[in-house]
Amino acid sequence: MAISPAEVAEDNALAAFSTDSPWITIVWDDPVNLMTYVTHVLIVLFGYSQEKANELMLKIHNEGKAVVNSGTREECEHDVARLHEYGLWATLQRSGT
Amino acid sequence: MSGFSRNADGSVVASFTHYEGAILKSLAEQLLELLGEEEGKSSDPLLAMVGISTNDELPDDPVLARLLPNAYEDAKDAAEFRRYTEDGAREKKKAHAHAIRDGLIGVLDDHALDLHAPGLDKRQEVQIILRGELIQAWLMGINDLRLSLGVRLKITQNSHEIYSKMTEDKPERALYNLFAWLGWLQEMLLTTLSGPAQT
Repeated sequence: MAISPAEVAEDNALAAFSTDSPWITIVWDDPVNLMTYVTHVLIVLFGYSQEKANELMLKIHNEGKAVVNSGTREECEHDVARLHEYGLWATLQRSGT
Repeated sequence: MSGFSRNADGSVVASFTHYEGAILKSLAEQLLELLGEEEGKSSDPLLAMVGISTNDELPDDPVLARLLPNAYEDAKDAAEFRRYTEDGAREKKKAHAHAIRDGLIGVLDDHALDLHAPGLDKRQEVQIILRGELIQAWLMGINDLRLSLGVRLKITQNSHEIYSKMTEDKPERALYNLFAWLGWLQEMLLTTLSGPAQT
């Protein structure tokens, strides 16, 4: 069955808004930020529970970094800008790189 | 006693001695000065109006580089992101420092910076009521001050051991004491925010 150009365009448009998360937001460990502060920021910015935020904070502290969120490139850029505003050391990158 | 407490309506009361308030105000002013540096470096005034800078490099000053870090590990992506966001990020950092400075100016009197002024009781307490967004602005502002001092002091995991062995007359030790005090203040503010309101 032939696929019309309109259907291809629609598929591409859907891919652009795919729920797969091609980008990730990473927070890196640094020696200055207090552990309680990092947890607080993760709760305020991402609405995580105390438990989840604490778990992520410990991962950052023990492993040097942790993925704290994922989404479109624009969403992750927004995350990183907000994390920088709070003074956390954050970057974004394509998932799986 | 200096520190923070929370009212039943959610507002936070910041209490400082006159002396502590003057130090905090001075630190905030130094940060504001630093954030104003390198600003608009080779900037195009028209682009600047819409928040786009022609500057896309990590700031030279290590403190500014920490406060305004790269968003990408890839240099080209980092530069591109910086062009569109650094001006706005700087303004936000300045707003946090302003929140602290302006709050303190409101309660410290004219000779706030002259701690040797006759008749001044350095231990006299001043209080500032923080509400809504101001609370997070203070929290972020105190963190920016900690990051700034942390970079200058080259803080690592075992810095406490090193600095606490230094004699009090060393300037680095005095700076470290300030850094430790800011950490204590921030911890207290965080505890206040997570705990129940005092009635």
